[in-house]
Amino acid sequence: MCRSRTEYAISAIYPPAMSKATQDAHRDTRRRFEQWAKNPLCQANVLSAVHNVAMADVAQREGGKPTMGQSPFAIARGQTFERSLFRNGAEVLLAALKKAGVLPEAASGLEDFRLRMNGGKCKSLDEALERTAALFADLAAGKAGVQPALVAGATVRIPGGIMLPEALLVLDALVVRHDDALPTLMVGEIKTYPDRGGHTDPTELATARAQAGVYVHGLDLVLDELDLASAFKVAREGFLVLSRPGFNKPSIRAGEDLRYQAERAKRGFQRLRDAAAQLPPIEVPARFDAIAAAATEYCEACVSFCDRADVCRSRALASGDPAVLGDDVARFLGAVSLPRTIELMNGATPATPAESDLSRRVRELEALRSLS
Amino acid sequence: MPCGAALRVPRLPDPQILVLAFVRMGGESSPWGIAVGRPGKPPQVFTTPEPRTRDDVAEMVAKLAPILLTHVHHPRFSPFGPDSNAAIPPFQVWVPNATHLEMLHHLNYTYTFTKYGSASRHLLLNHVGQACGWLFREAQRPGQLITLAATDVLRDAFTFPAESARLGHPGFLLAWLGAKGTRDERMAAAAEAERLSAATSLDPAFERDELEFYVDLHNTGRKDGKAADVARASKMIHTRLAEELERRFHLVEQALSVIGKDKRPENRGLPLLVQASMDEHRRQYRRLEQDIDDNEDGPAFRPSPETDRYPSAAASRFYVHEASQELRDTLLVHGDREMQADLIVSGEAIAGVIVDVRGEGAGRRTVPVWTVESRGEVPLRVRKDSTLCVAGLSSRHVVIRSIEKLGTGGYRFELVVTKLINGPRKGDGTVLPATSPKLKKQRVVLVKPSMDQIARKRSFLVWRRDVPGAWLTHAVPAVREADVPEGVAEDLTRLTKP
Repeated sequence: MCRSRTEYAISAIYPPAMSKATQDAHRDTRRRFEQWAKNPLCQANVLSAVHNVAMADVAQREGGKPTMGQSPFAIARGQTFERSLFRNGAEVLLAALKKAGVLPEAASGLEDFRLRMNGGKCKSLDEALERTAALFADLAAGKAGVQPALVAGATVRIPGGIMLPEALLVLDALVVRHDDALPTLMVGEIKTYPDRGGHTDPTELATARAQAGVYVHGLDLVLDELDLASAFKVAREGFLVLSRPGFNKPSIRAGEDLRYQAERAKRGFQRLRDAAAQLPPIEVPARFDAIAAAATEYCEACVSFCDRADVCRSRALASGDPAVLGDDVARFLGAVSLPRTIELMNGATPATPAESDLSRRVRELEALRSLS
Repeated sequence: MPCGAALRVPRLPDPQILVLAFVRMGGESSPWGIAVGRPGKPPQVFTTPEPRTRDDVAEMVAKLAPILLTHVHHPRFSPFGPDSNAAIPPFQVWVPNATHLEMLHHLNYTYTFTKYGSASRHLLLNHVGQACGWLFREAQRPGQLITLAATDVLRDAFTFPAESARLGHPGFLLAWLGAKGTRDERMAAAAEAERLSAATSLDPAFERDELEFYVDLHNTGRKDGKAADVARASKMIHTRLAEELERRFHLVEQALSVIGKDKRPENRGLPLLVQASMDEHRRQYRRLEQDIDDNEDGPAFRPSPETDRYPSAAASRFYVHEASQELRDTLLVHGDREMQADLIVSGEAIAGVIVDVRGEGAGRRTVPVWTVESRGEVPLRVRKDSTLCVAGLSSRHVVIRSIEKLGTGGYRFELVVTKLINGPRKGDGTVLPATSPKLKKQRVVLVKPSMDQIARKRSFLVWRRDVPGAWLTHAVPAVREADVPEGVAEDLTRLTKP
């Protein structure tokens, strides 16, 4: 049955009340961690990530228009692709993983902890959490008959309350290899974008690896918490599952080195923990105002991920922050503002050592240019 | 602010330019719609209501085929026919920005080896895939002048006061160039233009509000056999997509207009770069389309869209890129004082005054020696025995005999002139002999001469089996083969045949 045009418009303006499953989807913390990591110096960004308040909502309250939305077709495509991978006991994905050497030929078995809204069997994230922990316990105990090669939607809670209100990670794909003394857990990240060999967007790949690194670190922490660290080996190599251009088939990028990404996540979580600890508790209704009023630190990266980038850019421009001309100019000018730089270029006398240094560098460049 | 004293792209007549723009559905890699045409004329717009249906997209791309293949002079479609010696005039394919170049790569992936559909259609699509693949590969070659993204050309010609992350939007760049008024007004115009998507992706809100309903209506109608719904939805989707495609097409037209009206001259090294581009077109496109092996450029084969899977092919292309980079860097600098300034700042060129000219050598053999002094605390990357040439007179080469640091800052160079000692044989007298005393006190900029032929020669040699190192360049590595589905890979047996 096709929905009427009015229904589409209404649903876009007034989203229906969030279902339990949708609320569960919002509890996945990895996205918030990545948001924080993109600009940890911005206090508003820290507040938004820690308190789980979307910047799009803050921007909307300020009268702005969110610009980082997702295409409905892209969302549907992502879901369709993921479902196709896990259909019939993950027949397609298991075959691709074997072909890429991620799994041995004899490997089989899928444990599916995905939420029902994503085509899985779990009613809620809490159930996924419980079942993931139970699986780890069974694997550690070597329980007969429990030897899945692949786990979909494995869910772990990072202990210690690193983020407020909670820290949940949902792993797209977790491979379990049983051909060593200890079961080896290997993290995989599923992305819908096409694998174009050496031409695949390096930023997209870096983001996917960073996400997988967060999961590796999350697994380390959780196994430690469950007192199962000695019962498993968490591989420092992972894999990416991308799509083939023009085909609805997976393309596996095996052997992704995640050592440094896991280390980055470890240090990032520590810093985030420190940042969260320093924040005063804020009641839910006051969080929007707190974020809107918090200090911002505009940088070039904000354009690519934050819905309030326009607001912060205007503020930065008004204050003469050289970041509005990009990171290179910001580095070159250092602490000297744009208006002051123009004054210096027009012959003003430097008032600080930083200004003297900038004047000297500008003079040198001008002199060199005049030589040609 | 203009960047460079001369333009780094040739201005061709409109009939030699083809503008291409694409849109795609969120999450998909196939095009949802295509706008194609000449600048100054309304584009032809092709769309499909449901880009997730492979057959529909193939039908749409097949309509693009004759236009594209004629423009890129496919041997079967070109007015010059298959003649490999035909003097094909230069041509260009312009797209709005880098995402549209990516779409060429997607088409390369999908259609180069497809066997889907009727024979007549899939052969046509193979040609399109191959043409798009060549255009995409050519876009990666430094100094090429055939596949041009409007944003790249504009950024090469102007400096924009904004973060680099925002410079991939042609509307943003054009608003900076075209808007009138104060700085704030121009900035506001640029920000406003930036809100309208120019990439192959559509604005998610636009997809949700304007298209999702009709795509659903189309699919439901198709499933339920409601032809009226299908027709209505198709029409609405076409109308919406055409607006988006035409906007992208017009952005390219505006970029062409900006470059066309620019008062700066074209860099005088461009004709040689154009010639190099057309040479690549002949060797890497028309030759391969006709399955003709080449003694210098290797056997004819369809390169995989994904990667280089054969060492000789990979090595040969590496050397071609190296040669292209060298040619670009060393050719354009002669006609652009700002490029010269950049090289001086980085220490890769010398600017100074000729303070002495003398002749050495015995008998009738003259060896001109210049003493050149530069000023300022300039970094220096050139060394003793380096060969340089005179900016603006690339045939005159000098070799650095000695370098002396001056107490006043700057350097004194003793240079031996090794080429073009007496000036051109059929010169008009404007080029003085290297021994002429009139050269004294003249300012001179010395830059690296082009050594592109060395790398180009290597690109030929690497195909040979009877040279040292052939055991390495012709060995197919004994590792896991690239995981490429059938129909996406080149024919390795053709490459590895003895």
